[in-house]
Amino acid sequence: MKQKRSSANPFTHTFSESLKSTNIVVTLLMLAVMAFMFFSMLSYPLSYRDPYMESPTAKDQYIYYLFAPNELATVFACGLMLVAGILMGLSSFRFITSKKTVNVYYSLGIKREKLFLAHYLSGALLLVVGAVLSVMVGVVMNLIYIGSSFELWQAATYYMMAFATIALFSYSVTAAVLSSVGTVFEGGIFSVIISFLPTFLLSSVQFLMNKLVWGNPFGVAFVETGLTHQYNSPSLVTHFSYLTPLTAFSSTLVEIADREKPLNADQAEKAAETIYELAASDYLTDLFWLIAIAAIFFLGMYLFKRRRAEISGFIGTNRVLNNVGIFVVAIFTFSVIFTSSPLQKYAAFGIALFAALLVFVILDAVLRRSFKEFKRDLVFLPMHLAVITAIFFIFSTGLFGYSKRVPAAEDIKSVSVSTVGVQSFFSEYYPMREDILVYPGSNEMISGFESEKDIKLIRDIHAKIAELNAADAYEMWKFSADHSSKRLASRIQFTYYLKNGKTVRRSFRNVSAGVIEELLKIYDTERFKKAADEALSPDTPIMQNERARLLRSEGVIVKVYPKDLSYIARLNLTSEQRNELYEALRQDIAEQTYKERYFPEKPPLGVISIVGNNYTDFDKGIIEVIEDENGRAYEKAIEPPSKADDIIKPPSGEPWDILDNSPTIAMHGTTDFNIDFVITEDMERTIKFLKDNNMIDAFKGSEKKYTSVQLVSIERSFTFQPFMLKYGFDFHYDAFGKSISKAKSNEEYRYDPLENQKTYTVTDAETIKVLKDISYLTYFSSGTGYAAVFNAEDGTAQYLYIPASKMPAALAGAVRNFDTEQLRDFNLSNY
Amino acid sequence: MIEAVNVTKKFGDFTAIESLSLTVPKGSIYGLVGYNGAGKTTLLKTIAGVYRPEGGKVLIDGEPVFENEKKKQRLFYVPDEIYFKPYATMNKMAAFYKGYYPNFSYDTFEKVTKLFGLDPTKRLNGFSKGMQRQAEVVFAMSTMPETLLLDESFDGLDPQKRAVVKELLYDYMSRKDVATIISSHNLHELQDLCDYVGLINGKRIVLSGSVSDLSKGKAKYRLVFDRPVTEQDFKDIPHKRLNIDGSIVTLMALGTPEEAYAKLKAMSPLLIEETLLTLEEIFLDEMEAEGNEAKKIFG
Repeated sequence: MKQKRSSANPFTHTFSESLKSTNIVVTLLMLAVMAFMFFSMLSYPLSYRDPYMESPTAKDQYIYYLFAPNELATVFACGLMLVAGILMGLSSFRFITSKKTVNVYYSLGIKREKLFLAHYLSGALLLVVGAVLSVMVGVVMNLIYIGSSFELWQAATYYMMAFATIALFSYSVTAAVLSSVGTVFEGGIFSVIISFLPTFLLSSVQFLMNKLVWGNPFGVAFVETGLTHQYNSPSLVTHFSYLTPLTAFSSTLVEIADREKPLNADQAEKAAETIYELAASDYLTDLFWLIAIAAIFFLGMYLFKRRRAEISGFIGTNRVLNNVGIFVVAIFTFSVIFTSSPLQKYAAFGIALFAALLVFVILDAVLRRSFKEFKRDLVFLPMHLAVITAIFFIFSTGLFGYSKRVPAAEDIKSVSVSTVGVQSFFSEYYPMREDILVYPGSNEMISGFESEKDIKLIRDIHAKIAELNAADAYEMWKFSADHSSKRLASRIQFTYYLKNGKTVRRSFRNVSAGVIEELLKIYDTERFKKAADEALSPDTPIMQNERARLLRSEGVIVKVYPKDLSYIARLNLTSEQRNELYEALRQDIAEQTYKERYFPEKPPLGVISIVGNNYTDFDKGIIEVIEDENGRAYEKAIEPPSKADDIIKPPSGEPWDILDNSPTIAMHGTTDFNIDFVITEDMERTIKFLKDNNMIDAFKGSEKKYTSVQLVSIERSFTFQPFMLKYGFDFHYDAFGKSISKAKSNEEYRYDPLENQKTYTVTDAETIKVLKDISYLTYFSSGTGYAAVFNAEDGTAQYLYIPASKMPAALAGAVRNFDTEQLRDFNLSNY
Repeated sequence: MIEAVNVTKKFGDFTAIESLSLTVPKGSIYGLVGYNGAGKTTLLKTIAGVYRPEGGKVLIDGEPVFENEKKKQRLFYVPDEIYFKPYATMNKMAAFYKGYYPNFSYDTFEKVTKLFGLDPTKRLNGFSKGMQRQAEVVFAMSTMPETLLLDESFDGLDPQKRAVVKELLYDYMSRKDVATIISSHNLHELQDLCDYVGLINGKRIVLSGSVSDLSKGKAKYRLVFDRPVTEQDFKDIPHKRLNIDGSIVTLMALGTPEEAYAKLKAMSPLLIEETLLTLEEIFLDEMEAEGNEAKKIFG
């Protein structure tokens, strides 16, 4: 008798059979992950060959450095691992969802727990191997190009562990889910829902909080750019990222992937240290998730043992999962519909709740496919709706006082607050704030308000905002007669660092014009004055203060924008004169109030813009930091730039000269490259300096002859781009004027928002003169006032600003009537 | 020996079998008959350990079968819905079963495969339904089971292959002490194959016993009289299905055949013929109530 050897061990036999029968799709997916990892990392070895990279040897640079995917690719790779886990789970356990296969497997001589274990282990093994091989792609690149190091293997281990944990989590969830449902369809859907349960629920809550909880800071993108803090306000999902392994690990991996490419051995070592610190802090996370995975595994095994074979092939047999799945979809739908509805709060609630009801009815009908069962399940419908309604009302009422809480002054160590126009000495980058009729957003915060006076000021403003009606924030297009209570598209955030180590954050959307103007009082705080003082003081060590460094860099250009924007001038200052100017500015700013700066009684003389020499051309030559005899440090060019064309023309020898008289002139506001000072009439010391040095005429402008002035109310001007209204762009801004050429040849280069707009236009010379005298080069607008476009004979047009309080009543009425007519057919909902 | 003791199996609110008991001694074949949906497959799956019963117990050689590795390694269940692994050949399925059945015999596998004329290297999903049934029988025989459960296994087999399967079963039973249950709609097949027959109806076994004992109890008669007779003439004779066609009468007499014969003889018929009931007739007799319902539907 021919008798082949028997495996004689049903467990190992099942294990090997399961390995062999793993779905080809899953195998392909794992291969795709590896290929993806390979290609996403390919750029590293290529850049390693970059001839411009200055370093002793590549080995020094990369010896501690694991070639790994970049930021986006890391998130994608983590997502792929999660999907691979779910597909592997479906592949390994789909046999229990078919009557035919269950007949065979459950009649075999193997206990169910062994059957489960063998299938589980085979899938888990493949996932772990896939995770290891995926990371090994990077390791092999390192080994080929750089060589082996302990740190390399340590980093690689972390990656492998993270990838494997993510995959094993979703795999275990899928195994447990499939063990308790009848069809692969449900297995897939419920596995996704359970794997992302915290994400779905937190997102739903986030949506509701954003609209209902006045002051909710989660998911509002603010960055603190003070001297010591850098903080991104996370969404609820990010805040609770530890609730799922995907979010827990991907955030750490992204942080690792986001690190700078090392340029030398020291940087490489530091980068490596960062990885190990991040990874080390995550070992506990990993341990937690491995325990969680083990718990899910045992739950799955228990469910598998208790599984009723007769449910195979039948949908909707698991009432618990049905309810969880339906509830998640229902509350998510409710949140999205409620949040996006333009209707009044309770009407939106009614519609969203009805949508949740429909979700229940449709999904339950799909899952149960039996009218009798459906009727029986209807008992759950009120429960679902009651939970959703309860959440809604808890948030509606301000989350148990959360909305109105302002920490007590004595508990506060320091405060950070978002800015509305006072960033000059704080901001690293302040983009595009200058153009009238272009409305910039702001997401930056100033930190470090610590004095009793400053804290009181900010608390008082916060308290006023907290008392505002949350619902009005969504009805801002309803133009209000009372300007100070009118809501403006805005984001305001407060962060309190308490003495007990805790942090309190509140973020408000679309606050009133009144409190926005109050926020400008930050200009008067000790914190702001100190920042201005430090930036302008010659005693500040430049290596500790970016602003001081810019102002005192060798060969800065001191530009002047005159009040009519007819040219850009340059003040030709000696270093002594420059220091005198800075000192005059320092003393003037120290005494200047926010009203003088942002709401000056008379139009400003113009703007002085200090442009750092680092930024006057792209090829700055070789710079070194030197110290003068007093120990003050300066940046000095020790070799000239290589390209002569980039050098700005030399000074004429006069106190000031025209640097640029092209027809299109727009200020850029304070940026990384320059700092702007608005020169108002109260700045007596600065004006005296300018007069004493014969530079005051640089502010006069060229007195153009104007043929007409177009007047548009700022309120109407927003409707030129109504999407900005709809999506909450800032409605308030430090209005900086600009000059453009209306010549045909300049068409493609200019941005003229009034082009093709019907505007109220003044042509008589007398009125034009009146308007000229009340036009401001810059003024803080909180949704009021007028854009005045002066069309000159030379084909240029200057955009200036006229405050509402300055406009003659007759003209104001005429413009209002004209604009009301233009706005008559405007309907925001069309956009 | 297979013993089902007061077995109850429910699917949600629906009770498929209730307090059902049966015994199949070793070395015997038990034929399980019943209408569609009567619970035959449910009972077989419960015996095979696929279903966990809500009540009662299933024992094989005195041990519970559910989650009993040892007993199930000597039990083979051929379901009515056949499953083979995707793209599998008979050789691959043989390797699959060999891992679970310690007594698996490749020798038997090859011989029986050859007997049916099947190609073990061809993919099973390319086989006809009948060939797949034969392949299942091959696997069943190759595992050398001590308990064999065949659910509608003759369905789709041509007469010649049915004969082969029967021969195989006889031969196997003659060599091994096997307890076998076969469910089928084809009562003729069970009649000459089974030692015992059980009729499952209304969630229970309503009739059970050896084929000869079952047949012994009931007989049908054909009588010819030299005069016209009426239903009134038979009022003292317990009977069913009386059919009078002038002087020719057919009926099924109740009670013992001897008593019935004596009473009928006393009516002085010209001719009296006695025939024992076939299993099918016994089955239909038990199902009479449902049969009458069907008659009502069509008037």
